[in-house]
Amino acid sequence: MGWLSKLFNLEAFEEKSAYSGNGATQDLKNSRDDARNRLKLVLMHDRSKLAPQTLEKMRDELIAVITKYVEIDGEALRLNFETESNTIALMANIPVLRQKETDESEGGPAATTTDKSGKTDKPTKADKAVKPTKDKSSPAALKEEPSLV
Amino acid sequence: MSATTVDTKAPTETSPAPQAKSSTPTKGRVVVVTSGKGGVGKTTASANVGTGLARLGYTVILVDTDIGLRNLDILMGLENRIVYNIIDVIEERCKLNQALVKDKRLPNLSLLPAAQTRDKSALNAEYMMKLVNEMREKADFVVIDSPAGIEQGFQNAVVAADEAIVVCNPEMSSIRDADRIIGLLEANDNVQTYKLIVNRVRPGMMKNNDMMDIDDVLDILNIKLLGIVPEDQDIIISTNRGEPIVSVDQSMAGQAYRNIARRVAGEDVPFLDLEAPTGFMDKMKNLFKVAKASVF
Repeated sequence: MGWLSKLFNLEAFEEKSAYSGNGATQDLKNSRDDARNRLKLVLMHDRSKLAPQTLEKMRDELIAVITKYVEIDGEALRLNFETESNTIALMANIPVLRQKETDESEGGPAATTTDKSGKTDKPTKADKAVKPTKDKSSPAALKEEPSLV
Repeated sequence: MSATTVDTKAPTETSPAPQAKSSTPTKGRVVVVTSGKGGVGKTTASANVGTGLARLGYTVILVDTDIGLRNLDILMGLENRIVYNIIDVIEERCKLNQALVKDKRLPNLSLLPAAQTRDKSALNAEYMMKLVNEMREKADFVVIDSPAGIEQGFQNAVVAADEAIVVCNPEMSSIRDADRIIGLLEANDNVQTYKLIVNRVRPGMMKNNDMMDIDDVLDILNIKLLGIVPEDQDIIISTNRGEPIVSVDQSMAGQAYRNIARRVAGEDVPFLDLEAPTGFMDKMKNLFKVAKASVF
């Protein structure tokens, strides 16, 4: 699946899939959820007008903007499409390594990406399978408008 | 028609009254049947929706636009009666009336066959528009069977359509292609509405979570449902005989298409019960239930 799975965070799903293992016995039952989940991801990509290169570019630019204010783990940054009750959201999970020392004047609108309540000293390298939205206190969960349908 | 008396409204006649509604002065509706993917049941759906509407008394012209791969004539059992075809009309070798093949049973139903020895380039959108508008004057419904794919053949089929019926199976590749088609229909200015027929439904597999169910499909495609057609061996038999299943009273798929035709005509008909028969005994029980008119 290559970039597609990277893009859509397919690993978590593939682990569950009955066909991913190389074991001898494969469970052929209850494949409905497999079909539904795989199809949703494929269609999200089909429907989005964004080329994979564009998404890579967007990812790089996001990193560039955020690193102006906080030190992040660019390698671990994840940018995924997810469905939430009929809307598609672009979800970014951005592990923060350290908050940068910034002037109050500079920490304007862009400071919204970090939680003021602190605890950002230690990296919040959340497990990749954990959805950032579920954890409201996740410091760098960034949700954009579902604009890709 | 005896099995269709379930209709909740049904104030008046239940038996078909040919020509009863066909003298309306308004122009006919043009309905295109399409799917993107091949082999999901487009042509079967076209034949049955067209025949179903004709059974309700409407004047119907079925149009096969699958140039080079014509099949609608086979499903209608009219393959031996073809003299001229759609390309002959467009290239003015004959008049539209000469090319229209009358149905064997229903006098208000006719077929405009595709050309078998030509390719899709023989037809273009401009000619198609002109031809369909001519047919619109003659019929209450013009039902256009689209070829598979999203290229020129598809564009020709939808160019003059007012509404579309998208056919899919509850299966991944079919749904993916249907999604593409829906995107193209949304971008099309003349197609006002489009609805989905989920074909080859296997209720037993859906019950066991081995197949996406109707709600999954509708949710994923975000489209309104026109009908659910169960997988039915009778379809093969009816095709062998050249009689659309909609005319076979005891058949599940036939009942599904009778309901669909009435919905196309504007009636509010409840959807098929999906706790449907799987085994022989169930099928027998179902037959009795149909007789009591309580299944659908």
